[in-house]
Amino acid sequence: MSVQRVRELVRAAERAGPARAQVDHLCQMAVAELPVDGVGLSVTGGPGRQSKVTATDDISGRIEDLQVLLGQGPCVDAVELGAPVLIPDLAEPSIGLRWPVFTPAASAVGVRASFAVPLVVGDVRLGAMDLYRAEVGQLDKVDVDEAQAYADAAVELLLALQHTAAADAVSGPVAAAWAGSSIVHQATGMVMVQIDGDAAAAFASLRARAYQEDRALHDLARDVLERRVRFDRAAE
Amino acid sequence: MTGPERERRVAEAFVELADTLVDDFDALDFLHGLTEHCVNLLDVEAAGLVLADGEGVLRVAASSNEQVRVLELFELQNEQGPCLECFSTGAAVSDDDLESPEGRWERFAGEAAAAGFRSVVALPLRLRDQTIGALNMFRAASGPMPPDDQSLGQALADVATIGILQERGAKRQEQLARQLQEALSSRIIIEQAKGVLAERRGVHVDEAFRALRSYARAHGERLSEVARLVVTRELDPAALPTSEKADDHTR
Repeated sequence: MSVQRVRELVRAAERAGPARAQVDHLCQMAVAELPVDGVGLSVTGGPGRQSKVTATDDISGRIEDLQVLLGQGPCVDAVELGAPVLIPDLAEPSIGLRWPVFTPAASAVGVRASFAVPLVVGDVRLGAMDLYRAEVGQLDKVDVDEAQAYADAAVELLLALQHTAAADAVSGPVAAAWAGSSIVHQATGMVMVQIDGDAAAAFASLRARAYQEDRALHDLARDVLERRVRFDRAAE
Repeated sequence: MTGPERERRVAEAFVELADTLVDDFDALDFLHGLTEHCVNLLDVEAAGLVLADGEGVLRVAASSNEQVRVLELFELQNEQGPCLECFSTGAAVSDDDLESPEGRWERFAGEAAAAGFRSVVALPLRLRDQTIGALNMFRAASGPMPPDDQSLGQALADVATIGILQERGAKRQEQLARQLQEALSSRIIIEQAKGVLAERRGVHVDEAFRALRSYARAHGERLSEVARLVVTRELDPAALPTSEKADDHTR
């Protein structure tokens, strides 16, 4: 049974050092063991509030950022479905229709196959683990089960850290990753006033412009905060 | 019940008692099932179960019939009886003759005898050094319970205990996950509120944050709640304090 396997993975990651390094180490273990080229992890504080926790390499980091930016992709769907999403070949036409923006963007950075397994805790969908391959090819059932064991182990590590945190605090690796995205949410608040809309509408406006202008959401947010960019209705 | 039939039912009971990690797990139904298995599989007429709550106070959790439920309540109210003793010692206790004047629980024995029971056995719901409750089994006959029955009863109680502890562990994980998500959400909302206020007033986000925080302190509210009200426009940003340096650009 996989419960045993999850315990083994948690123990192996715990040996890696301080609490904050454990989640990173777990993802590196997954890359070493599974037939994939990179692993990334994100958690969500609700719809449209996804936040990257860690990634083993630049491409995996890009996959996480793209999904936060675009609100679409295997990880977003895995969280929504609470089930693994397996895309052995991103060039498959149906995938282009499913995620019209994510698919070409991921292909452009060298992703050929993309997989995501959910971080599930009872009724709560905490986030997802993304795995990618630079070659086309499916993960077989044993690998998917193993990927899910890694995702479950990531949940255990995150919650063990949360267990020692104050009730309203965010645990180590999540807090560290989160700190980087705070300006995006500040910019969202400013855009809410500028477009006279709610947070979802403001975030969607930011995402759309970042995508149109082919720039990082983060950079655009910085411009909004420094009042170099506005989203007034009149200006559109 | 014939040998093979009993074996089949014993096996079924164990499978059922081990299966607590399901989406629609109902603790009361599960514990009621345990008392029913005892009555069906063992030489006992009735069974009742007490479980410690979050504060360690014993509560009647299940019973195979109403009569036993009343007896268990009597036991807890009078703070005397086999379940209490079993729970506090973590060991099995019994009274083979409830009508005997030398019985250990005088008032409880009287009530149980009046209900038609002649003997009682209480078994702990225990995992290692943690006792979470006790299972009371009542018999119409006096004399000790057959050893095989008592060990089977204890095995059922053990499986149920592991099941309950697993389920509690899973609930705790779920609670932590919700906590993490809520903490993340409230941080996002606080950042958004800073942005809303910064834009309304034409100030830096740091100054907006100071205004949010001093309003929260002055009104004894949580920062995340004030932020939520600003983001949902239930709180007019004009109500928030301005620092002397702040140039009020409210439109």
